Amino acid sequence: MKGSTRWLILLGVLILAAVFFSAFGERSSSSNKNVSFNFQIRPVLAQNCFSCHGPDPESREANLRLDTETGAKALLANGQAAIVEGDPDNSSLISRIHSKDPESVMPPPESKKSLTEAEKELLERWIAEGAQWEEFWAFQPPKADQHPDLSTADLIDVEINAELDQRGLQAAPPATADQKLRRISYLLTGLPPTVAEREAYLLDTSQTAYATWIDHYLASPRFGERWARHWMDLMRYADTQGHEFDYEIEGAWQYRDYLIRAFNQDLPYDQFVREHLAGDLLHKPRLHPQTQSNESVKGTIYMALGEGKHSPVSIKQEEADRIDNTIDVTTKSFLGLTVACARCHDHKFDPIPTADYYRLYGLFETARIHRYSEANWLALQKDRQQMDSLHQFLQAQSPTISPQSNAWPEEAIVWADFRDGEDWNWVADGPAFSGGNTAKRPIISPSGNATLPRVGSMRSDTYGKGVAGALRSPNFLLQKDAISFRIRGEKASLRLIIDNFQLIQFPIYGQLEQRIDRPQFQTITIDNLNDYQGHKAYLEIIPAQSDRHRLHTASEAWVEIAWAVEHESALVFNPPKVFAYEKPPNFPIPKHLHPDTLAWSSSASPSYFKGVSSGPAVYSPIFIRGQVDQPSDSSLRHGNLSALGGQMFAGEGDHRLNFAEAILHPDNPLAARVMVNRLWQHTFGRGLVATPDNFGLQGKLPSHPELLDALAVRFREGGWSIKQMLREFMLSEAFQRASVPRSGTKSKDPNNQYLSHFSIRRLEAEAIRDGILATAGCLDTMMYGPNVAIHLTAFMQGRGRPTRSGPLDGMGRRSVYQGMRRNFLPPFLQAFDLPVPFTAFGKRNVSNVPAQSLSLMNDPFVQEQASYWAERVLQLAESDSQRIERLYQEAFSRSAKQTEIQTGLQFVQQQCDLYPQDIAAEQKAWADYTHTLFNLKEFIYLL
Amino acid sequence: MRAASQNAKTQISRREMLYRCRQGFGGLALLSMFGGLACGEDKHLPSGSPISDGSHHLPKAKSVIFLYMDGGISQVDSFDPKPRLYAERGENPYKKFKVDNTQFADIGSLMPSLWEFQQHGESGMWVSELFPHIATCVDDIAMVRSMVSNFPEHTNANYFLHTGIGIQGRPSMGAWVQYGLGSENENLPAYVVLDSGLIPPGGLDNFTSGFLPASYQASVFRTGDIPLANIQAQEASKQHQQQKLLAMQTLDRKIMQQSGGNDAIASAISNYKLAANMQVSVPEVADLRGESLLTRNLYGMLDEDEHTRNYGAQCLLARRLVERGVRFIELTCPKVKADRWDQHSDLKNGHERNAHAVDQPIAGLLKDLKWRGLLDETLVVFAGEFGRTPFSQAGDGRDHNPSAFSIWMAGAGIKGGTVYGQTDEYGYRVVDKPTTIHDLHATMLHLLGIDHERLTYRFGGRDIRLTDVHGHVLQEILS
Repeated sequence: MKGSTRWLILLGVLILAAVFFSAFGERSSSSNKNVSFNFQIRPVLAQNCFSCHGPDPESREANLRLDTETGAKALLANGQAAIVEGDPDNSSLISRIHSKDPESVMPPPESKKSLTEAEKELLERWIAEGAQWEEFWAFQPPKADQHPDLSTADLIDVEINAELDQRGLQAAPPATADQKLRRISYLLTGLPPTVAEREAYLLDTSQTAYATWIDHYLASPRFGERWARHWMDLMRYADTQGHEFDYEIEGAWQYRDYLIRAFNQDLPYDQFVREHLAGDLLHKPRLHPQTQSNESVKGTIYMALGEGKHSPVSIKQEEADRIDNTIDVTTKSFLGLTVACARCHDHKFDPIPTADYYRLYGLFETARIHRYSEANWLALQKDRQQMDSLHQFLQAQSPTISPQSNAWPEEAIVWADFRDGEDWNWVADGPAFSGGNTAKRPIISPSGNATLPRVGSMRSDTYGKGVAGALRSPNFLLQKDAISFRIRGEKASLRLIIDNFQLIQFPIYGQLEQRIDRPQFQTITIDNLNDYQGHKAYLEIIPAQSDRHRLHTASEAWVEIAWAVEHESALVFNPPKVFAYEKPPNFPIPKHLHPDTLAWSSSASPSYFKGVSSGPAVYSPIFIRGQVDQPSDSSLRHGNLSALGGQMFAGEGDHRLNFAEAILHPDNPLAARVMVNRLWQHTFGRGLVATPDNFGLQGKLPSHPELLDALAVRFREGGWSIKQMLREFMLSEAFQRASVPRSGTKSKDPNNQYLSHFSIRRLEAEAIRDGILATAGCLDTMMYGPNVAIHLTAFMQGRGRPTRSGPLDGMGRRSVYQGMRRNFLPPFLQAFDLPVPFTAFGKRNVSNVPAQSLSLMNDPFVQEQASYWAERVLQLAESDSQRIERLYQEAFSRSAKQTEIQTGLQFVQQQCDLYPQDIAAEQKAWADYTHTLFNLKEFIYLL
Repeated sequence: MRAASQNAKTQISRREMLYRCRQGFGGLALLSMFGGLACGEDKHLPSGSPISDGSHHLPKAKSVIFLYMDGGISQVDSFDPKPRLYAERGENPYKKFKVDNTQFADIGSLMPSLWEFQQHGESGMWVSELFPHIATCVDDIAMVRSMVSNFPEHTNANYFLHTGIGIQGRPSMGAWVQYGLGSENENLPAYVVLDSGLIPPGGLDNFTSGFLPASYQASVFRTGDIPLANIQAQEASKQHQQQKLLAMQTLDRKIMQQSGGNDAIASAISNYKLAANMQVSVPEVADLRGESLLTRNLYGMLDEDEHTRNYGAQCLLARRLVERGVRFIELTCPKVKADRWDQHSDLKNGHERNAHAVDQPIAGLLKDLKWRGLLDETLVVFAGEFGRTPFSQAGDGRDHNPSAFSIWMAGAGIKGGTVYGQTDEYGYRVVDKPTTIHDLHATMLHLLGIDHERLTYRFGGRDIRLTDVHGHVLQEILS
């Protein structure tokens, strides 16, 4: 106990450290247990020693590493070891930390780090006790469930209560029925319970009433809208790309809709992860319930949601920044690891070498941005099969293709010459072009006779004009200064994509995108490519044209390409003649293979979105110190993180699906832990691990490690059901406690880490705004679709400002449907801590500033809603007292107290007296009253 | 003198500490070292608190006025004379030096300054005729001619200059300063951006609190009747609002009781008092009607050019904010006819219009601050995001140049009349004492009494600083 008192005194001195290291501190106070390496020692070493004696060899001093057991106990050059098991006196670590000599003391003064006496003592004790090493807790497989017979809710209570007992903390009594209803309604749907819901709930006296209402809200379509927004914080969701002109991200909102559907239907989390990383690669995708389009592929939109720089001077750097952001978002969100810290050097704290980073870098570099249409996937599949049958038939009927050719000049690099009937490994994505080379596609006469064209080409109009899709070449390293194309079409484009750069435009890059608007073949040359020699590039042919980086597929759009050749601009050449057939064959084809019967052609959808699709494998070198112009000599294969096993992914090509499976592999303890912790955090207000995006050594230690493990195992083994988990969380007693702690509890656990009571919390920005709309009676529950334009105030200025402002009330739609323009974020939501969408935000700030009071008091939106609310309630045939009672039920999900009714009546009267005595006075006075209610703390805090 | 150092001497109660923190007025980072407690779990501050191991030094500056020269002033036309450009006018730059890729990839010939340079003041500092008024203040100015940036594009360069990182979403320097020091005036925001007409490329995110709590984001003041969003009461009369506030106070008692006196709720309640005060103090500070004709004239507010008049008013407002203890003030550029300083063509007209709009107001500000004894505790920084090329673009413009540009500082702790660093004979690259944005930030923080290496915030697993892992204080320009 002496140690613990001392520790508590130190807490006072350490201030911030105390709160944030509380798991560590309080564990040490609990008993005479052995010192825990994971909970007490490693954090001290990580914080104070790893920057010079950690995983990064470049910054390692004295050839000593303290992040591995072998390293820490090895004999050093001076013949001593930093740590000698059981022998602190002979451990140089101990003598160095106690040294009074500034030259020798560790950590050295210039590091501006220092150990407390308690930390030094702990280190000594730990070494004396044998210096036992443990694998870092987050990488250990979860410990077996100690209570397999208990329901998850009961298990939670057993674990939470045990911890409370051990710490001498007393649980608070149960919350009131009203409080519980308000909690589950807000936490599950982001909206207050309606008066009718409350009445029904209070009337239901059965044992299962509470559970029934949890299920009610879990089943509400509003559930997906709230939980999608939580996820959007992680995926740095925005509708625009920020930077100078804030260009739109086409169809970003489709991702938001995808999330809402996924959460509402309780899509198993493992499938959810797969679809994010590789929804385009799934053989049997899920389909959209109405359009029958490929739903799974929409998960990949997240990779297109990052920033995009207007006219970057180095597009290689721009690609590197984009991929870095993808790695950052992906690994924080799905793994709780900060892999992006390994961009320039090995991770300073976690076992994440730079090589891991660049394995993933190549994996993401392989993916190409692709614009998908919401086409009927089933129809497409059917058509494709029919097309295949037709090809097979033709294969059997027609003679082998033997191109007649004279040669291209030797100095030219032929990217493709489709006239010979081959596809040159170009890949068609989407329905356009999917008929393959025209040389293999017949022209069918009315009599049913088919003729194959004499000359091959790639055409987009297999299914007709105005069909979306893209034809892309393999990757090339540019070698010459020009590329020429033989091409024709209307309302179409060809784009040279260098280093995956998409925002092609004036002033530097304009020529990389050429509009095709001539129905006759022409030769187009893109030259001046000297600056890009050695860069990776591919060519993209699309029957669409871009306007401010939004593609439009006109109904008359089509495009056809015959060849593409790279050459020096000085080279003068005549393209050789190439014929697929000397004499094109002519033969009858069976009616059922007739292309006119294709199902898709009529079901073209006007809705598009950007996700990714497969490209040929790109293996990245390491960029030394993160510098794109300093690549290492050799490239790295795609592979898993070393900390998760480090296996290389088999085969050549796109390995995003392999990575998804590696994340989800039962041997990876992080995926389930991280997600279950996020669910816990959104339910209880704080994660079992308080740093939800960082389970690494710089993250916080779990407050209830055994519980976290048991929940993770149950989550995985129970089929990754999010709703099931949330239901159990809310059924626990721990969740149903009152929010006022018992006396004495607060001083022992100021942050309520051990959940002796319900943590009071301020509602999130969206819940406040949506709550205002719902309470006023103005909420439009219309779901899905393009965003509502942002309402622009005079204070929102700058480039890329939309020409028109959206309505003040956002059309009464929920906040999740409001436009999220990176450069014009909604100020009301920002005042209440909406995160800036630049990386994964698993945990929002909760600030408390006058700007919030000013918004609620003076924002015309709030005033307007208050006035609608008053108007509505005044129309009801009720007494003033009844009205106040109703307003309280609507706003606070509880009855008004008599004193509150009195205050209300008095207030309305007083306000009324201040207005000119006309018929509007009463309405205005009531609007003042409803506005006051919006401004009560009870409206924005959840108790 | 300042909130933080006062607190160092006086023990503050936990309640007051919490109160201050939750207001966002307290300088969280520095306050925390003086025996208070953390402000609750929402502030995920670093565990080994960056500043818990000792106090930072005595500050020179109480406030910063950051004059943002959006778009990039041409150094060779303003503060960095290059005679050789006259001699080699019209010659091909590729034959003179290695030319980097530029934003417009339109490399013209060498182009000398369009304006004459003269020496000024006792220090004899060279200033071109673009800035006749600023030229009269050179003995208060330390000129840094050796600035370099990492980005040739506006947005990244803007983010870099403002946040120390060239990407969106990081906390702006004003947010860091407020996080470190708080404000001296609880009735005004601590970090104010005076929108003089042009929000720079990259938008309001240049002034964001990033991953710091929203308390630290800038309040953007506009010219006009309503200086700040939502600052104007909407009620029919003062009394209407007063009665609302009173009713709130009464009715909020219920939740205070229900929540067992929850700290967060308590401070949310007291925020209303502050908000109500701000409703008075913000319009009051923005109301320049009480300023004398002499003062207005000094700031160029009587000029025939409306942009000069407007910018003059902004400069005057900046002084009034400084007087009231506002910590960090940034002025954006006025919207003159020729866009901001970004002259890819027609350098002559563009730079002249911009210079005319800001020159007299800035000189007026420096002089006014000095007369009032405020310059000693106010740091004035004049900087753009990069410079411009010594060769032409489109015949009569200049492209972006992040490899060399000039900025200056004046006021608190600055050695006036100093010229620091040197560019090559074309003004294209720095040859002596290359100075990074991180160095600029480190120096600004230093003058404010903050060690830039110790002002950190834990985010995404790292203790992040305004200066990333870089930055050196420019000792040579300090007095």
